[in-house]
Amino acid sequence: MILHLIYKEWLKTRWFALIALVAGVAAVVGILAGVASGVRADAPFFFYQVIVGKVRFFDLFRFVPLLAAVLIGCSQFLPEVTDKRIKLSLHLPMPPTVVIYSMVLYGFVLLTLLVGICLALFAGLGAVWLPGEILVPALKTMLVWVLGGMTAYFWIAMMAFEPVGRYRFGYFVVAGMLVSIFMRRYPIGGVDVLLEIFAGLTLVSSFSVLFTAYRFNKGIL
Amino acid sequence: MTAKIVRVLLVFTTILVLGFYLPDLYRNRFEKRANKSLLYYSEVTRDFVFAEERYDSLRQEVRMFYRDRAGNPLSETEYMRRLPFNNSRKLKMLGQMPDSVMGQPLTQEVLRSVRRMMLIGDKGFEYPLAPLFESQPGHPGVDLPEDLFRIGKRGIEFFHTTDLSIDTAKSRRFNEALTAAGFRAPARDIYGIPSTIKSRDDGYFIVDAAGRLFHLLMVHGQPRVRAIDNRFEIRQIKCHVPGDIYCHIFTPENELYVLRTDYSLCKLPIGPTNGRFMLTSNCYFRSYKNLGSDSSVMYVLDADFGRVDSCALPVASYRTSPQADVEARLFPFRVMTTPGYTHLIPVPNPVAKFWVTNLCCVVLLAGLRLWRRVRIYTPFQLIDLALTAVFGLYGLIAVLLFPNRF
Repeated sequence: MILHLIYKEWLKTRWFALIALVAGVAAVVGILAGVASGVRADAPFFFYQVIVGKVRFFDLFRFVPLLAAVLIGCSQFLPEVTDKRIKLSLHLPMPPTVVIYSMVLYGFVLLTLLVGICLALFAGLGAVWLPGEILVPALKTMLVWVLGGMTAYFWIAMMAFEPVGRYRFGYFVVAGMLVSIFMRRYPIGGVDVLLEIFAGLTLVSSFSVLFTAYRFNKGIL
Repeated sequence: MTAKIVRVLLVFTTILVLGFYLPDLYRNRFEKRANKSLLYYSEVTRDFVFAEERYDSLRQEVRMFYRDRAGNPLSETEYMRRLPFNNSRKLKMLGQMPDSVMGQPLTQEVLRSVRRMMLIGDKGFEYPLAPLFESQPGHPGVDLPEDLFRIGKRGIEFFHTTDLSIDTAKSRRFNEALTAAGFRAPARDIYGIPSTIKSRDDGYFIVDAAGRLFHLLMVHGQPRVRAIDNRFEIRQIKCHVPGDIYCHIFTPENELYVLRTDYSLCKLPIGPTNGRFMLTSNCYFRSYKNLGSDSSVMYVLDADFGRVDSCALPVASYRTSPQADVEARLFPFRVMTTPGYTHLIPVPNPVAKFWVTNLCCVVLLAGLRLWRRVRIYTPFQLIDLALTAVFGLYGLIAVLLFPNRF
């Protein structure tokens, strides 16, 4: 039954996932094209700019995880809650928590896959022009934005299940403030400690849907 | 039960987020720029002079007031005459530029000897890669090399920037020189000025795996390595453009050493500091102004780093303002990010200040709950009250945002 549920989610999200993937790959290709042309034109000067000027050559990726999260989250949950179709799923012969978590886990895995493909492309092709000493700090800085995207996804799922509009607005404000902390332009390579804190916040956010799903299921207003 | 536990986690997350934003919002709205208090050392009188910004109620504007160490007021012209290095252009226009200071004529060269820079003991992220410039290129300035170097477990490695291929011959040559000087790979830190905007290159200062300091230069394509006898732990090095010193070295305890160009190390005779300095130097004196949040302490040293004088000046900061006092009464803590290696740090306020606000929030929450006929003695309602008691405004907003009705 879970496989059927996942298939239903796939039908809802596939085109939006494709858009997110295309956007992500385009951003990575754009970044790498900039790196390649910089190296081809004047490699010492390009590296001088990166090392001394701390040029953030990967900034194009900044909003890709957030965009992917919004696309997947909205395509997955908006149709379910606009006309309360989710109630059908919640009446399947499975515990509601399993149903909801299957949906959320599907979205999370899809988001991880999309962002993972982009990061793997960046790391794999980037290694042609960039040494590991530059690639690894860049990846770590990008990982903060990835965690921001994941957090945004979990809060979108949470907001979708909230039955009361004013509370949903409150969650939207908190989610906006929380995600904008992730989306700041942190110094390159200076996010080692921050990554642990942000991973913790993302983990806490991953449970958030349980709260509103319970309220939704009980029909609490 | 699970949903209730998740709710508490969400309340905590919201408290953290509010702690990040609300104090900043408050400061953006209410913080007023503190009046400037400036402290300088006069090469003319060999004493401190002060400049303070004060509000002139008669003219209804902020004006600068000047005084000497004894508190005697100074005119603006007299103040400038005492600081010829800072005000040379104005003094020349007024025709009041002194001819000499301490028996030495004030030539253009002497006036140009002034250096101003920040010295910060905290480390930021630096890529463990750097270009090694030719130190004697045969012309002023430096040329950007085609390769970069790293010092990993295999020792120093030069690689071409175009295809990342290793220059084995050059790497071997420099490795042998480093090993002969007693260097142990990998490098813990590499310090230098990798900029091309300098008159000459003084190479890099490298801390090896054992914590020893080495100076690495490239002269006519050949390595020149010098081991430096540092008998202290190195936290940070701030290198300088060519002059009479190579660099300032910070220890983990924020002690400050100077490495002269003859490789002698000199511990600076300055008190316990926070590792944040504004350094101003000329051919007579070097003044290290330690920038604290509530006061600045200036240590004046002579050209040989002997202590001449020191003076502390309380500075008006936001922390001592009435607005900061109100902030401390409203919010139990604020979450801030640190520069460099970024952390999210909660900075607590004294409980004595914010407990009244927190108590009001608890009473308000209890009143709201009772008004809605909610039983407040259930465990999760008590948790809400406890969170509000501890986190005050943040707690109140957070528990109201996440309804406690199941």
